[in-house]
Amino acid sequence: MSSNKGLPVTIVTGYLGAGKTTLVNNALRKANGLKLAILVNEFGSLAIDEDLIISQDENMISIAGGCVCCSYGNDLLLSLMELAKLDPKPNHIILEASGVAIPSAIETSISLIEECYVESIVALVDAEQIRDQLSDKYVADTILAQIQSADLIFANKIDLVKNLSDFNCWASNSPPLDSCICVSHSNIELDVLLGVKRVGESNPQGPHINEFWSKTYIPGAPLDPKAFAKLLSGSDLKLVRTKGYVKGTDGKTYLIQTVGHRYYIDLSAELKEPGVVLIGSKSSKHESEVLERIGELRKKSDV
Amino acid sequence: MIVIYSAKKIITMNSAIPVASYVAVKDGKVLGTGSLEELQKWGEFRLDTTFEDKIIMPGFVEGHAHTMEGTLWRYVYCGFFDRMDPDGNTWSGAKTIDRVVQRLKEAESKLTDPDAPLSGWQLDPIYMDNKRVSRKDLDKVSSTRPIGVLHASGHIMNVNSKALEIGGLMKTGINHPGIPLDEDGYPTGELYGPDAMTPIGVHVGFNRSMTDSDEEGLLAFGKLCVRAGVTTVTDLAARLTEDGVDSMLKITNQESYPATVVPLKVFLGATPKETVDLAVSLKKKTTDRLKLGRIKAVADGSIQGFSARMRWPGYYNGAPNGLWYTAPEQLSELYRLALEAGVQVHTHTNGDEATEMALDMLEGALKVNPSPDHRFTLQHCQLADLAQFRRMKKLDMCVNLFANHHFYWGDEHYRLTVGPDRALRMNACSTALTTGVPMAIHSDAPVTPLGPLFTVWCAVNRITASGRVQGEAEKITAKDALYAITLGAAYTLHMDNEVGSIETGKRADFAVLEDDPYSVAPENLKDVKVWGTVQGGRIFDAKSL
Repeated sequence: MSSNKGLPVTIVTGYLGAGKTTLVNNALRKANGLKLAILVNEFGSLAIDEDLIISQDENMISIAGGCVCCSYGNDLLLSLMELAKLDPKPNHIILEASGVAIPSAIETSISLIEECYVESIVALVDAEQIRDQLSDKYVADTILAQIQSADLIFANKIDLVKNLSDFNCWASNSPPLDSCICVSHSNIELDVLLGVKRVGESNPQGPHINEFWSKTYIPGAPLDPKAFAKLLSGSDLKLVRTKGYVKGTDGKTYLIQTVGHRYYIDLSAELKEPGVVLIGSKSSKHESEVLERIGELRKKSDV
Repeated sequence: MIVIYSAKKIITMNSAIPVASYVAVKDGKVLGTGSLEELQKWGEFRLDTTFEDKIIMPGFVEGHAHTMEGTLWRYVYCGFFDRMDPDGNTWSGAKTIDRVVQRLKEAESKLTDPDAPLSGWQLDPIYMDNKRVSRKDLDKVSSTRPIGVLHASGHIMNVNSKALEIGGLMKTGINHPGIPLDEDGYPTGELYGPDAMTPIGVHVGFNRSMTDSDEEGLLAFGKLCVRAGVTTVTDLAARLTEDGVDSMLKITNQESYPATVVPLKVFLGATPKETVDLAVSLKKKTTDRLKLGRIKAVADGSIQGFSARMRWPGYYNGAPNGLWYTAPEQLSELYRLALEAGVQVHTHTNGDEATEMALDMLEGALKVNPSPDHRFTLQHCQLADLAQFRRMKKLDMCVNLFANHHFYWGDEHYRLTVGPDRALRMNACSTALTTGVPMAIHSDAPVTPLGPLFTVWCAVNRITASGRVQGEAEKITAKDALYAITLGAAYTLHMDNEVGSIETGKRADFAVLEDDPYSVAPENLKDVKVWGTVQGGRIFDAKSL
């Protein structure tokens, strides 16, 4: 899959109370020069923290640092098309889906327009409520469909869960929640939410992330970029995100990105030093274990 | 000045004087009904004999319509059934796809701007042996001008190759459930659902504010009301932007505007609190002919679009369950806040699970804010069963059933969507009456034509488009059906104190008819001719609009 299709969109899905709005506000606070465009279903009274707002009209809120927030009501595609026309162009769109929307359906719709592509689907669940919600007579199937179509699932509000080991035991036996990453207060770093920003730049340790570890992997000899991307996005490694450059066996440089099981490969115009930033969750698999496993897998499948 | 109208028969819906020969009107209100001798004691009067050979009924109240029908008539009518436009011309139904193409061609030849889009509406290939329309059919109309034709359901659109090209979809490799592909790998030109329709719709004249009737459309809609005998009409999902309200106020305040419009603010794109606050503030702008301050919520989608939420065992053809349009918690909060603020909420529920959810949420909200006489109303409520009607009664709810739907799509529901047994009980008017749930019946215009007498015919006969009687047990009498389109509908809007019957103090709103619907055979109810209306004491002759 190639990502050369316009503006990247991260769909944030989750039922009411999962922490989507907090996540959006966190992202705006951490944007740090990145121009984010936020699309929300509704301008709720608490949609955007007031201290972030510079100005507001009927359709758009201007936010400190060049970010914007729009509501889409029932015309998502038109709103996306309009956002893509903004000058200056946003770097990334975060789409906060409504609590009952099915994100895979949103992704299919977005595939119809050339202005944007879905970079990832991120689901939040309320860790304290999710077990009840998944047996609710009205919304269980909706929530299940939301998390089934997500690339990354965050079990949010984990601090409110009284018996953590019980929760972990339940989640590990309740796919797709077995791959969920536990967080509190929707505290998810931008690198995790939107992808690793500055690949191969100064910080060799990669970004500092509380619940996550980050490491740059140097692949060494040229390889098949697709096979390698598939390997990185396989369930075995439980990597959250990866992004970086590899040299293909054809001698060309490729940019590969993965998020959960989703991966993208693009031919790179520039010749970059090979190196892929890996981000994993401390709670699922440690970095040394992952690096070792990558080596094994490459040997086994001849990548 | 008092005007006394004579008529062949005045059916008042006032049980004290059910039938009269004269009605006196003063200041736009009914002074009284009775004999000339009784009425002349009110004082100096002028006798008006315009209606001497007519039947007068209370002006009809359409409890679920959309004023956008007025706007749609600017597009080419492509429907299967004959339908009257605002100017009184009856468009014959286009029975074949060739006829649809021919009709579009005629309209195309009149366009002067070579790039202007051509738009049509109300196409329904279900009646044309379900033959699918393709972009190639519409390419016969023009290959250089974008063309789009909206289906009767409102959920499907057909476009030509040029429209696909402008919208960037004239390519192979599209993978979308709403965009079927031809053998050559290009889209067929059929677009299913709003997601597929929107990106192309904007290029063929159907834009995002289509559900808002513009000024010209609202004027045209007023004419349709007169032709149908309607004097009070809802606009049941209006965005009610500031500009939208201003233009509705401007048009309805015109001395010649023939109907009272009741727009409901749609619960979408704002929080429950914002929506209720807006309804409260809009209420203050209410005038005689624009009644503001009500909310419409939408719980689920449509049955024929398989987006309605169904209880077990779900759809007859095995389609997966539909979608929630509003989460239960949001609906619950809306109900709670609206009850507290005294704002009425009407809720669209099509599937029986959506109905169940709305009942559960209202029951909870009523425990927090007990509200006598709230009259929250379920709209469509097509699949409710007896137990659900009993709960509606217990919760003091009203229902507005989609009687017309039964004629237009009943066969499809029987065959495909819900299967025979549930299709028989759809739009259960008789159950509503026996359980004592206050009931209205509706057209959902433009989905089906505005025409309360046709709606009455549907509820009384329960005949489907193929001519079968579907659900004998749910038939109701003409008397009950005529009540539903007058006082019944007025009650669901909290307006039974103002309209719905002809009695002292109420607005002088009359439907003026050529025949007596109480004495025609049930199968002829839809053929009762409408002369026009009287609204607030003003006479509107359909022939001279």
